[in-house]
Amino acid sequence: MSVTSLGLLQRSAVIDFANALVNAMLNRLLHARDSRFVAEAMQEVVTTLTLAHALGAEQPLQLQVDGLRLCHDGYALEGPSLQARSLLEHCADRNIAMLSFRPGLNGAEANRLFDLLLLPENLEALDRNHRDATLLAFGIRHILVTLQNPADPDNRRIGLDEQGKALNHYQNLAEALQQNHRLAQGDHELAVDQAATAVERAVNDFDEPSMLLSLAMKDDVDRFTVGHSVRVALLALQVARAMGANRDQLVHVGGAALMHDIGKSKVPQEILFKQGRLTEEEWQSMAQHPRLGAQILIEQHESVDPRTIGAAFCHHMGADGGGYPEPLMPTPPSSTSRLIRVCDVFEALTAVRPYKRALNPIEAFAIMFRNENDFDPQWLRRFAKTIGLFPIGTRVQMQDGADGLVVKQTDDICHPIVRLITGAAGVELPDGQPDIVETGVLLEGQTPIIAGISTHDRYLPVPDFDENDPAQVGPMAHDACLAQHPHDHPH
Amino acid sequence: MFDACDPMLEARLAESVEAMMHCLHKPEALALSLAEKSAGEQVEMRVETVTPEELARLPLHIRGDDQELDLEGGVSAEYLSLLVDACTTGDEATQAASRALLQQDFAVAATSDLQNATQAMVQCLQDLSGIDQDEADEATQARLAELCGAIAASVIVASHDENHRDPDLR
Repeated sequence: MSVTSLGLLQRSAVIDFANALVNAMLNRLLHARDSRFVAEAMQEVVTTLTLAHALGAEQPLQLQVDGLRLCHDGYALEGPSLQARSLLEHCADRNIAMLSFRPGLNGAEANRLFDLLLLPENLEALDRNHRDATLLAFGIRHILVTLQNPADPDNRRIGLDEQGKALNHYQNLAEALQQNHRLAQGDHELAVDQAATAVERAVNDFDEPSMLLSLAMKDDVDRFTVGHSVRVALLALQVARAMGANRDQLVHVGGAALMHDIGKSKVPQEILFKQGRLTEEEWQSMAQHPRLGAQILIEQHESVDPRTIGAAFCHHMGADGGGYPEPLMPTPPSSTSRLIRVCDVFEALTAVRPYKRALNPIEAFAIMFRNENDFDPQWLRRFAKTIGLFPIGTRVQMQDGADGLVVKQTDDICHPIVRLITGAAGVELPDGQPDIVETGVLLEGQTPIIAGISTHDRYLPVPDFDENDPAQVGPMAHDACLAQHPHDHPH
Repeated sequence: MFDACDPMLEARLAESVEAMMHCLHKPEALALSLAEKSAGEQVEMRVETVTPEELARLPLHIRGDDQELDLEGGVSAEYLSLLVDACTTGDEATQAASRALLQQDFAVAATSDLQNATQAMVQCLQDLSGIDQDEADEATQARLAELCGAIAASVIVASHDENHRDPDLR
């Protein structure tokens, strides 16, 4: 095995471990300390740590806490950081700069670390004078806590790069949504204002849509409902903005997309996160989430826009009102709900789930157009035109073997602008060669063409597009329906 | 017995490493193995397949004529429909909240004046009569649709109330 692939393996394992740690924090916030869900989340921390060590990650495995990010070995772990706001804030409150995890850690010990991080009475327990005694008293022997100390060379800060602002917005949206899911689960009044403020801030600062969009396209992000909703909101905002929506409309669309799955807070967790197929009874319970979501929001009506309630109720309905739930007085969904449905399915198809691999965006589009009767065709087309066949952040390989990253869309959905990472055949980019190329446009005697899409797990060749023969469109499989069998529907 | 000279040893080691790499490079495979460990139940992976021909045709699907899209469309009718639904399927608190909203935003109640609403609907129909459907004033059409919806909603709410009233009071 080459050094490079070993490095990739270790990095992947560290990302999994960091995701597990963030997961564990979210579960501690959502469930009772001794619940089964917390126990499983802690066990996942242990399992992923063991795997990381088995694959040669350093011992102890160190995660640095740096403002908005979790870092490892000086590099930001962007995916796990997206929903790590709570973990990062609790660490910052306790002046923690780094957590180091040694082999031998068990779930109970990991759970006790979260007692120290979460409980207000333990705010001072990890300060310079008490830290060692506290860790001993709590029986924490396999986790080391490094406090912030500017003199400590291991404690270097990593400044915010250009993605910092986007990451901040993503975390704000995720945090607002997590808070509302927790409140809804406990039958408390929602913090709708917090969600609206997060959306409003993202909209106000939306001069970097490509950054937000590339975050939404990350393939190493969480597997939580919350992450799904944040990405759906970012996609919906991107489309609404591209069609010239005003600020109020953007806030309404973003808020509606963010809260569309709030009803899942009322679906039993064992069904929501079940790995296998749902039984008929479980499916009936799951299928209640749009109605439950609308009902939760109706009770908060003074602060909730009707579009938000509508999206919660209608995001599994087709343009003709088919799908579920079936209201007594059937009505076609509103435009906002139709847009959110398209974003919802696209996100579900392109995200990793325990029961399915992540599809490339271009594959997701093919499946959605194969089943286009499930959607409003106009919104589906508008969505595809905005996002592009190769969304920003897509890693591509050119026909000459160069690797590149899509950095901008053009009017031509097949030909985005690409920043070359390597030269032809994967060698270093020669000095003086421009690294930004517009694909499909003749440049110095050559036309750069995208040959395939690279993801962490596979390579998808891109065929030559049929661009001039409309007669070829027609007898495609329009009779299929994504929601035809309830068990096959993405959660 | 371990035999370092076994010619197949290196091949088997390579296979093991490759399997491990495969697992780690495919998060869903990792999730699958973790799920099997924790839940003890079989997870069925779904693999959607897309043909190169489907990919090649995508631009033709996407590059159709664009209609003007309006983000505000259909909000009122959708809202009315889901309030009626909540009014009949929700728990007590939800029903109370949705009734209040139906009354406040659509003048719908179990005691709605259906006669007046019907007259307003007739007026709308008269306004529209003689006009080609495609040319009919959008605002009038929307008003007509809303009136029809409100009347239907009133009937549903009233009949639901009737069905749930204490039998002794009927």
